[in-house]
Amino acid sequence: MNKIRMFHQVYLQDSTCVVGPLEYAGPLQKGYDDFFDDFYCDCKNFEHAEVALLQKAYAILLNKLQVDTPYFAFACGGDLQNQLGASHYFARSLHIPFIGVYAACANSTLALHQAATYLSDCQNQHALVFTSSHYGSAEKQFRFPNEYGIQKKETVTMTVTGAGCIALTNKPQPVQITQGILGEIVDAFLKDANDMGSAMVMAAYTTIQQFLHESTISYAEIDHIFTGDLSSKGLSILKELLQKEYPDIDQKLSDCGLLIYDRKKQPVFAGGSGCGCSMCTLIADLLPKLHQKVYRKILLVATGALLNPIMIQQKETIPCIAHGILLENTQ
Amino acid sequence: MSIYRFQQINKHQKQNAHKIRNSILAFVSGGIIGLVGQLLYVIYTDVLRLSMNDANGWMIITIIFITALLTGFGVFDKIAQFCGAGTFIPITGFANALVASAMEGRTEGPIYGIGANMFKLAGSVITYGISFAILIAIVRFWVGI
Repeated sequence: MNKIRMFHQVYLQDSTCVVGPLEYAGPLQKGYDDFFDDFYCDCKNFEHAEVALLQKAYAILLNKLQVDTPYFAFACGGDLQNQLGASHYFARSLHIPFIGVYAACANSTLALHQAATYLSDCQNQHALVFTSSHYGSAEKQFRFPNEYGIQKKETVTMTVTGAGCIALTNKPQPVQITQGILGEIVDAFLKDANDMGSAMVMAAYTTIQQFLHESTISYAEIDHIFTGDLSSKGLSILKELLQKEYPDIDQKLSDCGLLIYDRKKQPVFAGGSGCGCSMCTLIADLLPKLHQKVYRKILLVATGALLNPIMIQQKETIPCIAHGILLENTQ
Repeated sequence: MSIYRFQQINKHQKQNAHKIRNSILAFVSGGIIGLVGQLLYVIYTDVLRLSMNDANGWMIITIIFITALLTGFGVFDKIAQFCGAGTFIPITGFANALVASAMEGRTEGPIYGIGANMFKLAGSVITYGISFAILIAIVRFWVGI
């Protein structure tokens, strides 16, 4: 069975993203709609801070579209907290059908894929896609307490503090989601939770290869491939893996986690990660470039390390997943 | 097939972990903490005229207090990233683990938050500290030193 799913008339109407202070100080500053200069986002704790990020992004989106809440037929989103905390507590004020998705940092493309599947072949419908992540809540969830003084490894990635909302529609717009691929879970038998970038390489590799082999679009037609959060180490491994088959992959493959931060000036170790990473980079950098026709077709493959902190302590390996979507400027 | 190639490349690409630099930094920073402790000890015994036992206790309390304060201000984790084992191994590491865990649980209230989380990381130090103290006490009793 062909793994590629074709979407008909699924367009990106508008998008917004709101980030934290560290991301705003990074290279994509111009692309963000708003930011919080406080890590707590004027809230009492990190969990609510993540909800506040989403609420702000959503408010700006409604303002941009000049519409009211019932505009959207349904919402689809996810985050990194237990039981999708931030997404659910944000979506309770939406009063529209909601689909929560979890694929760790691959949430962004999974949510877009899911929403596009529902929206495909519909008429005059609109869907809301959102994801968020917060450094504080993710550290608390997956690693150690935030103030804990342990020396982090060079391969650790920094969870992006940010939330993005995208409005999908059936009405023709310049940028369209045309194809998508759902990834399979790939386990590279790595156990180091401090080096998730390397663990996710095989998942990204599998999804990219499946897409390039089975899609109606050839490798040459795609202007650029973006991975979600492979870290500097993971990206160089992936490039080396793909080098043989695609000699010019070096110029055609980038990682969102490396675009969102300036690794030379910011203390981010091996790059950014989290569901906010691929989402915010997509909204702040890739979509404007698609609108300006810098790129015509891009493949976004967000990667997720589906680790469970308890299973990792039980000496389990890290299963990983990567979902891809093809974005096109069809005008 | 490709997983085999991946493992090869992954092995080949092992990034330099700066082990020597980290060891030197840990040695120096750990030494500085030891020096500060000794200085405090000297001040307590010579200037404040405390007994050696009391001075020892007060020195430890002071170091713990400073660590807790720095953790609370959000500075300690940045220092620890630089110093590594230098701040992790002395009593500073233990104090930081307690305060950081307590701070993390702050939002969930005093019982299920601070109280339950405080010993999340430092608990194993206490568990094994007590266990080995009992073990060694038994050995010492039998050997009869």
